[in-house]
Parts: sequence; structure tokens; C-alpha cells
Amino acid sequence: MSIQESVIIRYKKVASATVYSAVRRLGYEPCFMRGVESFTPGLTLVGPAKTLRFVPPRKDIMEKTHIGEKSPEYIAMGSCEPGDVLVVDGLGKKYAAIGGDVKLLQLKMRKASGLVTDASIRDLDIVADYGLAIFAGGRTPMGGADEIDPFEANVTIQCGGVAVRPGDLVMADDDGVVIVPECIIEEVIDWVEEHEEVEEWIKTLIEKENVAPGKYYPPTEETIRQYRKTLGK
Amino acid sequence: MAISDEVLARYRKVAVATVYSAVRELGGYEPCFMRGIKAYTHQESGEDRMAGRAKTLRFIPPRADIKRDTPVGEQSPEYVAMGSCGPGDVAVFDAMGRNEASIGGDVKLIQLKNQDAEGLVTDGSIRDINAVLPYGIKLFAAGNTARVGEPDVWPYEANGVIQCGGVTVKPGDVIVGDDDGVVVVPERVAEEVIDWAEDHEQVEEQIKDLIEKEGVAPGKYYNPKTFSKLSNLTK
Repeated sequence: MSIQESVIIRYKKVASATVYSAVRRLGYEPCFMRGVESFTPGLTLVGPAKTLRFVPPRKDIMEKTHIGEKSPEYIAMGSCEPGDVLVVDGLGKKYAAIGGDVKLLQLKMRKASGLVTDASIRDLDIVADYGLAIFAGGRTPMGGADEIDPFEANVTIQCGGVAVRPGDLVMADDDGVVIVPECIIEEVIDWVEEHEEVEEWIKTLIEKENVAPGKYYPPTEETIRQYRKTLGK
Repeated sequence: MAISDEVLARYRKVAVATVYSAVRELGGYEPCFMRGIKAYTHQESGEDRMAGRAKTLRFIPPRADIKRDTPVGEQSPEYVAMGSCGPGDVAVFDAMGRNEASIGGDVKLIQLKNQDAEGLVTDGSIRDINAVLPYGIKLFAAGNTARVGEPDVWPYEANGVIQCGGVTVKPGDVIVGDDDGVVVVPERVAEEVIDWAEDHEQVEEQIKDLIEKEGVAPGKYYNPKTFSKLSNLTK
């Protein structure tokens, strides 16, 4: 099941920090990727995940996976529909590239919306112009072949210490990357939207009354009831 | 066909350092030495190193919906993995290099004792280490801990391809370990590697004898020329 465009649009208007709070509140931690940063500052990335898993290189395995267009990396990128996000488990290898401008051209051609990995990106200056939002463990001039090799497309992976399944929602901005499990995508955005409104309301109260944030923050059930009352709910 | 017990018995007599050299010599199978993993059980003679066929378990970061979808109780992947072990098998647990994460303690790991497994290797930590040590299983881990696995790791998949200590492991590979650490020998080269390693060790013994007898620097004999002269494989 793909995620409705209307839901994607709602996520694009909120902050990854609030989405984190919502996912955490529902008991799905860890959901924030450690050591994965934005390399396209200012861009918010929201989209359904496709996945790719790397393993340490090994000749007997590579003989089965290095098969040209049908290699796992091209299967994974080729499975991306417009708006999808490729999430790549690079075993947290900060200096190993999962690809550069030639390989990653496929994501541009598939009109993917972004790329997330806990390993590195090569030729970033060129890749950054592909129209993708990019979140990675780093950038590097090296290839990845000594440390990691693409093994399996669209299975359950880890990335940045978070479990990711194809179909999950990836939500990322300058604060980092949060994974929203597919089964709670709507529940999370419903909570996030109201929570952000409540926080804005609280900020105006704090400034107006010139009090310490602790008077209203974090919002209790009572604060939320009061906020709803201001809306006539 | 699975690696035979006879081949495993030969591996137990050869230093893991030599097995490493043999795998490296073949090319294409590095990395084969697990980083960050040390021996918790130590060999008593030169013939009781750990050598066994790999069975695998892959952990992932915990997540509520995946936990709901994963079989529980006896059918949980961790028990399926350990239950697939028999004599001459080594359970290799991929804890994603979370060296402080517990992969199990004395209660869970009793299954490996019951199955009479050869050993356990993990890049995570073992809990209740003093209760697990007497199980008679050879143990290699990144550490030991008082904590439990969550919130770091959750058992996800039995007998798939995994990484452990930065090395790819397939079920059926030969896993060897001694006080120098753990090396993975891909199944398809396991016989070739032990042939080379045995030969290499007999050559090294001869070279050591020559060095001591003549009172010379190792460089005189510790070189490719002497190796090829004394090797039985090149004759």
C-alpha cells in the first residue's frame, strides 16, 4: 500500500522533531537515525521507503550479486516510484561510499525524492544537483568496495540504528531523519499537527505573560483541552 | 555438501592466525577477521580450538510492529537459530556491532548447551557470563554485560546472510576461533584453506628450527623463497 499524497503533503508542513515526539509517544523507539545528517540543507524529505542492504564484501557472494543491471543496488533504485526515498543500510561505515554520480543517476531518472544512508556519498557536488534530498553519514572521495557491497533489495534493514521496512514513511529535515512505521503513519500526523498548534499557542502565552516555559510546557492534557476550547471545540 | 567433521578436526589443530593468512592468500575473501571480538573461553591444548559450521542469527533495532510480526515463544528467530545447531556448529549472532547490547544470558543460551553446539560468536555482549562459561560452549564476544538486549537489539532472522564483527557470514561457513580471535572461512574454500594452512604451519616450524639452530635473524628464512622450497604443496 502506498502512502496517499494528501498525507505526504501534511508531513511536509511539520518538523521532524515533532514527528519524533509522536513516534516516541507511541512506543516505536529507536526511530531517529544516529550519525546521519542533511547534505541538502533546507530541504524537507517526506516519502515512502524502499530499502537496500549492504554487507562486508566477499568474493563468493559478489559473484552472485555483481550481475549488471540486475544487481541488488539497481533493483532497489529501480523499484523507486516518483516520490520514493531509498534508504541504504551501509553498516554505519562513515567513509565507505554507497554510490556516486553515475550509479545514483538512476534515482534521478526514477524521480525519487531522496536518499538516506548511514554510509557515505561520493561525487556529492554532482549528486546534489539531481533534485534529491540527501541524508548521509558523510561524504567521501573513496568508493565503498573495500568495506561494503550491495546485497539485498527491499528487505527489513537497519540504518543509523533504526529498523526500516519498505513502505515506512521517511521524514527528514535539517534536524535529521525519523522513521515512521507504516502502521502508525496517520495516527502520528494527526497528533503532530495538533501538537504543533498547541506549541505555537503556548509560545504566544509564554511571551505574552513573560513567564518561564515551564508554566505551560510540556503541554498537559489540561493545556490541550484549553487550546481546543479556544477553537470552540 | 556440508563441511565434514574430519575437516573441522583438522581446523582445530591449526592456529587461527595461519587460517587468516590462508584466506588472505586466496584473495577476494577479506575482511575475514572479526574486529572487536575476543575469546571468553581459552584453549587448553593445541588441538581444541573452536572450529564449526556457521548457523546465523540477525538482530535489528527493536520496533514494536516488527516485534508483533515476529514469531514468539519457541518459534522466535533466536530459538530457531540455536535449535538449528548441533555438534560441530557455531552460532554466529549479528548484533550490528552494538558491543554493549546483550544477545542473551544463561537462560536463553542454555539451548546451545542442550544442542551440544561447538560455540557462540557475537559482536554484541553476553549476559550472566559466569553462568554461561560452565556450559562447555566456546564463547567469543565483544563484551559481557548486566543489561538486557532491548532497547539495542531484537532477534529478527535465523540462518540468513549476516555480518558479524565486520565480516560477512553465510550459514555453512567454517568459523574458527582461538585466543587471537575469530576468522570466517567461506564454505567453498574451506578444504583449500586447511590444506594451505597445514602446509604453512609445517613450513614455519622448519623455518623456526633453522633460525634457532643457526642463530640468525628470521629474515634469512622467513621469506617466500624458503616457503616455496619447504612447501609440500609446491612439490
